[in-house]
Amino acid sequence: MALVLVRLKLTLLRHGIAASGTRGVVGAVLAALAAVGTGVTAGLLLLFLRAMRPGDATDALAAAYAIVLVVWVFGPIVAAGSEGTLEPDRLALFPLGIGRLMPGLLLAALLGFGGVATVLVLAGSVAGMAPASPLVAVTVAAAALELCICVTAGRLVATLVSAAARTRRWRDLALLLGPVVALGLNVALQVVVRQVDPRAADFRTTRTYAVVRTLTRVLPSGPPAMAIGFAREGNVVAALLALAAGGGVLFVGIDLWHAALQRVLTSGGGSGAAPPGRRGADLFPAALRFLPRTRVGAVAAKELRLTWRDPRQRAAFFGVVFASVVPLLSLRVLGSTDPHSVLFAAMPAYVVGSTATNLYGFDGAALWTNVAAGDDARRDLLGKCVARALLAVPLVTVALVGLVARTHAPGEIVPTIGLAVAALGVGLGAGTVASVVAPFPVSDTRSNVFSSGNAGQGLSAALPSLGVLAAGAVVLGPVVAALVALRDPVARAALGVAGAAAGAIVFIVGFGIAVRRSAPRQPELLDALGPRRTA
Amino acid sequence: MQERAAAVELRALRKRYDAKLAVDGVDLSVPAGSFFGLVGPNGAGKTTTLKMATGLLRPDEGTAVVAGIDVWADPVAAKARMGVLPEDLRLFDRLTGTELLMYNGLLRSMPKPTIESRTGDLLDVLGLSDAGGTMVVDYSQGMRKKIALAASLLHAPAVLFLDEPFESVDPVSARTIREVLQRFTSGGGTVVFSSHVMETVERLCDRVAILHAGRVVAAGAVDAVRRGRSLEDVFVELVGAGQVVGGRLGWLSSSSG
Repeated sequence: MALVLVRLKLTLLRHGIAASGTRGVVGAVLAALAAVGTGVTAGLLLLFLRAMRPGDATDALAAAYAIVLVVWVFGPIVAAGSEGTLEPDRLALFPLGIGRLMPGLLLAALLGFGGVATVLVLAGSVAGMAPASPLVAVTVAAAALELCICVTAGRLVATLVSAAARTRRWRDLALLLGPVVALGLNVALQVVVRQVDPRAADFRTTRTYAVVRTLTRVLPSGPPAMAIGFAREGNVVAALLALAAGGGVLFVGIDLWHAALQRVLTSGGGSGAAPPGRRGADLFPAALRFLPRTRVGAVAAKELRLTWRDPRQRAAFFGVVFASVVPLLSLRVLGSTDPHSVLFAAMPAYVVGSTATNLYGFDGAALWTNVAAGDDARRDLLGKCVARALLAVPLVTVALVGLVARTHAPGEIVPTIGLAVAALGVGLGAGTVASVVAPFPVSDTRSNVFSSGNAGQGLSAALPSLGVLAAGAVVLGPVVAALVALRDPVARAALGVAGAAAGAIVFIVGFGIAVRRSAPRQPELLDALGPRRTA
Repeated sequence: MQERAAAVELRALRKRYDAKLAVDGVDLSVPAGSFFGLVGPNGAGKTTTLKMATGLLRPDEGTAVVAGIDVWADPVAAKARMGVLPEDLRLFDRLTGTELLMYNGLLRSMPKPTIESRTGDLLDVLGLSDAGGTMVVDYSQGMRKKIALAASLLHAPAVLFLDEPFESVDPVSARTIREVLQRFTSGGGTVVFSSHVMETVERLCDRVAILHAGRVVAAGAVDAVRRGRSLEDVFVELVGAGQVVGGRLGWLSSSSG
């Protein structure tokens, strides 16, 4: 049975990549390179453990193992990746005992780029920590135990989420786990990094270090790391006890997973009855009353409505907010009184613009509604751009008001607004072109909360965004540099206005290209977004 | 009797998907005001034909004229005169039913008061009044069909194209849809719909075309195509499906149940 599930997983992955065509192949190659690169780099870094003092080396190893565990637990949720290939729900109809399923599911989970990267990291840890004694067997066993704990924990969480995601509302909620977890991890990382003061004599004396040290030891990944540490120190009894503790953790994990699987495989889904609707639901709620009752207004209103209601779009929007806010926080802009820091308020416009590279992706096959109502690429694209701009405005406004209040530099308002308009214009101009040149559907997750529907093309799907981000940086870089260098307020304001004009020109040119290309090709655009294109 | 003007004229429509010829020179003429059924086995090319006729899929060859307008020469004008309900009901399903109809109306540049008035009528008739404020994602399959039908009727088209409108629909919803469509044709509208259900086609349609392997193998008035037999018998004979089971699958009787 284990081999059947392994073959099934390989087949599903292969077909997922093949169904995505060249994009899937490119994405798979990039993902493989990223996984092997990450694994090799982390593995090589762990070789340096050999040069560290035993206690410090154990602390570092425990931290590394904790990171591996966190990636295994939250990775499939955050990345909405290949976990869906063997979602337990899909096996419920087969007469398979859970005891037969579990080894196969574990083995199948190991297959893939994540498994390769993990094995490379663990190999590095063994090479970096193994003692030149028979206790090397404990080191190898502990590394293997770490692998089993990680995979089991990942499967347990995947099964629990799968069980929770039986109803549409829970599924919607589960989709938000990704950005929430990512945000939480980032905040935690920043808290730790901020504690690192290069002027301090020894970071190891700080309270944060003590907290992190304790935390990484009490996590399920802690006992294997400690067993390896004790083995290196030659403490046989402690090493074996830690190894036994790790075995206990694994046993508990498997037991919990068994119970979760039992529940998923034997309980039905949610009711199909429609919940009562809200009276007076309107495409144009109070906040959008100003939009014209035209095709452009309808598309913009629909985009904004779905940005919040569609969990995929809501997660993407949180990602945009997250990407906008992180630079403000991590660069300590909010704590700065330098007037130039106000320019960071343009960051949300840059992020919103640069992520507009697949404007039809969330529409997917539902775009037939627009095509059947008469091809009007210009108004449809304009509505989407208006919606994007309306998303950027409040983010930029909040950041601008906050930073101006902090720096008492109202003179920065015009240059910053100019820079924001330039960033948005460049992003949307390039994004509209990318949206019609290389559109791809973002799969809905009605049946599978883990599946992105774009197996193997996660990275290649991100390439247009990365390209527009890079192009935007090249175009906007000189404007930002000049704004920072110039001191004369009039000249800076003029530069801001000029930047806005340049952004508007880039938008008009890009938008025109996109409309000319897509207007006569609406059926082809629809075909590119159709279900046959999804994995 | 004088022949009615054609509401839909398909000439030599052809479409190839890689190595598969999905539609191989389809010619059809649908008189205005008729209830026209398009039947055929799975993979016969019904959906592809309807998509090409409605401007959703570009044909490799051939022409499609709807209400006197060449769909591929002037798609905007042609689409203004047709309503479409595709088989694969992908909708903007995080909009409520009411919002979806407003969206459809505004896409077609209809005045807001007209959209609101017609939305009320359609939701009432289709039994969706209480679900107007519910997101379409929470609708049952039958409700999805009905809201999509409402969207296709909202702008009072001359021709309605429906791909498998009765599939996965409960009997009550099916009856409602039938009554709405009969009301539409009695007002002069033309309905072209595909279906697997021969009884439905026989009961509703005055004309029918049978598609097989991308070709029209029979077309005309239902009675002329049936030639005194049931439509199912004619259909099975034309598409060549005989006794495929025969003496095989005997092992099914050994099932332990």
